[in-house]
Amino acid sequence: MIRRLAHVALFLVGMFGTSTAIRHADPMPFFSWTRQKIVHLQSQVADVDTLFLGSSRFNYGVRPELFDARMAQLGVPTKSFNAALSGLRQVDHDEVVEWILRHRSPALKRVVIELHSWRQQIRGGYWFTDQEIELHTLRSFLPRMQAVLTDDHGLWNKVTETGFVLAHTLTNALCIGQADRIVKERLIVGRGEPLPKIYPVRDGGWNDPAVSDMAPMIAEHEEFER
Amino acid sequence: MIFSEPRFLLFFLLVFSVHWLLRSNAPRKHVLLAASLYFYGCWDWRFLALIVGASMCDWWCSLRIDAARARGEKPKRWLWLSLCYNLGTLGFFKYFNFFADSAVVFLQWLGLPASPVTLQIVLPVGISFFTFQTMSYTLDVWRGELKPVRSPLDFLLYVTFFPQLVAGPIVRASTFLPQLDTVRRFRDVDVHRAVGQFLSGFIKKSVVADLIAGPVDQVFGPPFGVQVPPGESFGPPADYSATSIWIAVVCYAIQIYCDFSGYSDMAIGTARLLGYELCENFRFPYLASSITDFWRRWHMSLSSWLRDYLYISLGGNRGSRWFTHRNLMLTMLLGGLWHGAGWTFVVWGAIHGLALVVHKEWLRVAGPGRLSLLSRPLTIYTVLLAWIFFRARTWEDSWVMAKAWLFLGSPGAKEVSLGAGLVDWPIGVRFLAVVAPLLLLHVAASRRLYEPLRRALPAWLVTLLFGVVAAIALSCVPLAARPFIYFQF
Repeated sequence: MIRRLAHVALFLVGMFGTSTAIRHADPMPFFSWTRQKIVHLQSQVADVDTLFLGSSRFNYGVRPELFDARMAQLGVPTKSFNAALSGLRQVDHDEVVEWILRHRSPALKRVVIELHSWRQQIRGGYWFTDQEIELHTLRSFLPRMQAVLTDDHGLWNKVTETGFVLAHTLTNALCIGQADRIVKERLIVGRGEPLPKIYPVRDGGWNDPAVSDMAPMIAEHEEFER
Repeated sequence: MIFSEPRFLLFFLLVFSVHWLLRSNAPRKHVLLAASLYFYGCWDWRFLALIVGASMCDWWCSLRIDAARARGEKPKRWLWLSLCYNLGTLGFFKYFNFFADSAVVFLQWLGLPASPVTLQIVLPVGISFFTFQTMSYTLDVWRGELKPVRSPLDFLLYVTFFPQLVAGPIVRASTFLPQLDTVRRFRDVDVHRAVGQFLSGFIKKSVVADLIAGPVDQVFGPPFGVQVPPGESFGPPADYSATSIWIAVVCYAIQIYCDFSGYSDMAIGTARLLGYELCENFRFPYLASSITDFWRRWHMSLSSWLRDYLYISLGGNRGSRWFTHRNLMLTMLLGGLWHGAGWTFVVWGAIHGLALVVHKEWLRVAGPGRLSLLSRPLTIYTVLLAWIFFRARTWEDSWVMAKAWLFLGSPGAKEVSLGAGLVDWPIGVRFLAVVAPLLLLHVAASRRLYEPLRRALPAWLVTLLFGVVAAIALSCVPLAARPFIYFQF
């Protein structure tokens, strides 16, 4: 029995060890909005001194250019960047804040955090989206399970949420499906070309209306603001 | 649920643990049966009634056949009942629309008024496989080669055993049912061999077949039921150059081999982990020395089924030369139709049938061993020509591609994209890049290399290497897993 368990342990060591090595060689978040925002933040807005972090309420509700204009009126000039991500929850904050801060501009002075995203809730129903996979790191597994166990959802929801967390954490930990992207990116970098922007963002705020399918929603929001 | 999905892994871990935790045979069989029915029900629980009905019909007919024979009566009516039930079910679910459409086209060609009749029939997954399996059992009992099994649960488990349920291998009752009578012991399971086989199948399917599907879909067009991603360009083949068509055909040959043999390997590996042995289904078919040899290596469980229950029933080679050739052609035509309800599948069968007839005649005229150097490339060339009809979406596409394959000409000039940077490579290198994985796979999977290597290495190192290979394979798996090609049959 001990011999069998030792073999199982060896298999897992080989598997997770290799995945960790892959992850070590490719530390960036995969290819969702998080990555695009980081790339954008790094490459184009070196003088950002204010970051907005939060969920979709900040992502769609905060206009950095309006904020900067208002702050300038108040005599505190700022250069802000909207780094919020739709669907962000409390358990994701550690990861995202760390990623963002690791790639922050030297001028960063303040971070504005949306408190609504600071809630204990697992967002089921978005199985295997890039964002879910990249946010379900091994480090956040225990806080997530704590959230699942302590929320006021019914037993069945707890079971499905556990499956959700397990599936995404394993997918993340084992780098499932990442080889194709890693190889393609290495080829692009090898050719000296810039990495493509899958979701172009404008000043860290709205999606670029030229490539976004959300134009009607943006127009509606701008109308509301007016 | 497919073998390359994470949820299958969870499902299997559960079944594996419960199966080996139980000590006696009966509860283990119940667990396997429940798991198998759940596995099949994951596609569409409504078809559970179909598979259970077909199994019970054959189980009962076989008992009647045995009882009638014991009483000295002729048991043929029970055989007919079983055949009618099985072929009727298969005919309705798989071929109704095909024959109805063909009849309408034929009547319209004759100038008679006919309007299309199409029913919205969902094809139950694996119906061709389990129908052939249950039919072979009844035929074996009728021929007196097998004693009927008394337990309906044992028979149901034989038919629904989840590793081989949806895409084979088509297991014979004579090899599987005796295994149900003996208590399996975990210490008899060669875990390394089973895991190695599963991993090799997983790599074939999820890494090679799924990744090489891109160029195939570009030229042939996406397979039916697969959504075209926005911004992607697919087909028609007439837009592509002859070189691209050649590359797509070679890629498809690799894809279908890796997809189907990958499934078989995973099925055999999964069954071995549970203590059961399934028959081998592939033996490096693209290394075949002739078309006859190809059919001894490709989908062996189907080819032996067709030989034993169709070719021999038609008379086999117990007659004149023309009689034998007719039987060969009929067997391959029906084999083609078994794969899919479409005339392109019939043409695929016809090409193979014709090639088998030509090979038989060549052996008769020239004797064995002549022109052996030409034989292998000619076999591959013919097999790949036939794959065009197997994969093409329409008649027009088939003809365009067949002409490009045979005469190196195509009306189009578009080049197929094989991946970043590869398009700029010289054509010879591009072709090699496509063929090399297949050759490497054959060499790596060869028992002569793999088995001695596995036995030479210490057990702990093999386990560790399996873990490393599993992680690399998982990182290569596309997140949106493609269904196995043979699931549609």
